[in-house]
Amino acid sequence: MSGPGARRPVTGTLIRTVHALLDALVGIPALLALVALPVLRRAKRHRGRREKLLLTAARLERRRLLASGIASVTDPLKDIARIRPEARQDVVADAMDRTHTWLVTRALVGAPLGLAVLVAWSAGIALAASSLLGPGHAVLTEAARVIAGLVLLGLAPWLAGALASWDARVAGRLLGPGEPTRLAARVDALIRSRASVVEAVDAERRRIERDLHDGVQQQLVALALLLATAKRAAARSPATLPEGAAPTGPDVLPTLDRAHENALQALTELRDVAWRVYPAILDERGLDAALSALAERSAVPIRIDHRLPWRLPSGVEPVAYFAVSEAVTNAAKHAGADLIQVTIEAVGDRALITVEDNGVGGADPTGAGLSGLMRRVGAVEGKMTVTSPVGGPTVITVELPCVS
Amino acid sequence: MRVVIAEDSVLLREGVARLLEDEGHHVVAKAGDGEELLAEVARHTPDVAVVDVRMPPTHTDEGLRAALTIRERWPGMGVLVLSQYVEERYATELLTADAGGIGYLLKDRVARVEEFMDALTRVAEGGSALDPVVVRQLFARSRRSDPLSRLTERESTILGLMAEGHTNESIARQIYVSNSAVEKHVASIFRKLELDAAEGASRRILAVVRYLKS
Repeated sequence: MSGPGARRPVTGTLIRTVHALLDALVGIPALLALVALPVLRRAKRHRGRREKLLLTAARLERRRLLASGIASVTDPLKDIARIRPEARQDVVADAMDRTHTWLVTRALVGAPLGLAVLVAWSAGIALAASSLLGPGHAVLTEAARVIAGLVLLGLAPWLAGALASWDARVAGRLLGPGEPTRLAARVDALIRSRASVVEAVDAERRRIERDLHDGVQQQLVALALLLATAKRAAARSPATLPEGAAPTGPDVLPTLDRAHENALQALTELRDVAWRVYPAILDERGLDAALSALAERSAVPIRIDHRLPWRLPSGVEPVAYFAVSEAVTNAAKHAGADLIQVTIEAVGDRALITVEDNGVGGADPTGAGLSGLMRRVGAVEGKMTVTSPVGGPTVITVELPCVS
Repeated sequence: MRVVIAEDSVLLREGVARLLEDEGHHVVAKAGDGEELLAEVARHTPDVAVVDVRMPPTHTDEGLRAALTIRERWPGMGVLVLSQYVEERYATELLTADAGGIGYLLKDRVARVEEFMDALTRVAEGGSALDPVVVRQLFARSRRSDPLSRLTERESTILGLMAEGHTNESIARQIYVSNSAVEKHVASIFRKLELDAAEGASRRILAVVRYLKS
């Protein structure tokens, strides 16, 4: 609307006048289309053609507005491929509806306004010029004609400008991205950011796991080693003590022994904690290996049937692992199960995980563990169900998307 | 025996060195990364090298690669690899055609001094040592659960000890039975799993690990 016109008023006026001329001309096919469209609309087989016509008109209008520097309007269907399939239909229908409204407005308001601009220009020029050419007819005095001409000439650029900004407003509202497009884009952004939060949590877990192994574990091993060395030294005959060394009391050896044992226990516990934080094997060897290792650690026997022909995306794999691990913990802790069956299979392009135990049932899906799991699964656009009648069995299913 | 230690944590390196010296062994050199290790091994040709998997500069698997180079250049030398956590890939890469003089232990194991010294001695003498945790994982992951379930409980225990690299004598000591009893069990295990009765603990570990992994 401003742009070139603001800097060079003459060129701006010229552009907007040409624009108005086009407005007037566009009005005619638009009127024709208005007549034709209801007919085409009724005939179902012409629906595709009608839509194509509308979209072409919208595309041309956007190009025209851009070329004359009046407005830059984004095609609402430009990123249609990136929009979730379930939202696409809404977006297209909304774009079609608004394009149709635009066409009506264009024909009924835009075309007359365009004509008005042209009339103002030509009448103004004609009146002003006629006074120069010679004495006029009796209808208007010469002075009146000059004044009328100058008024019209002053009015014409203003009218052209008003029309241009009206065009820009209408096109922005009717030919640009509408509410469904914006909504779809926002939902997509939210889905992505939600999934990235989960990924960030997993990255953080990986980092903590590595720190535990590289830092605390090394220190603990060194400590346990020192204690073991001291223990062995103390166990040797006191005669081998260096001259002047403090005599070790009779109770030093058992104390050292206990300290060493404690350090070893701390190491074992650390390994367990690190594993629960994040099983490193998951990234290196995949879900099947990580689940086998989980089964190996579990007090309750777990049967794993892994039938996925491909590896899950890196953002989804930890969700799958922690889903099974949480379900298994739940079965062992609350259900009193003595066998847990885990099945992972592909259903279409999704992975279906089923964890079934032979326990007493009555699991509460709103409990901390299961509801946390549900949130995690939801964050990657997965679905989770818990069936746990009193008396059992408890069946937990988790469905995960395999495209990230 | 003469030992070279490669470990980037000074605390741990000195701890292991002190332990070995106390046990009457000779620590001929200490290295902080893979390159240093290879240089020291070339200079001293020790009986055995104790190697940490993660060392500078990348802290990923330079220790493992250095260990593989030692295996290639000095085939008779024992190499005991220490790892922060179980990685079967490392274990299997090390246990190539000839499994003699090789060991793969979790770092924790170092603090269990008797087990560590036992493994180190075995490796230095051309035997093998595989961490019990690695073996447990191999068992859990084995797809051949059917033939494995045909083993008696005692045979399962013995198969695990075989995979860890123990000789018949060592197995007999640990489960308090006679040598000939162990031999009988081993023969039965090999028959049930349809394995070739391999000679010696080193070939045996390889056969068992291959079996569990396939």
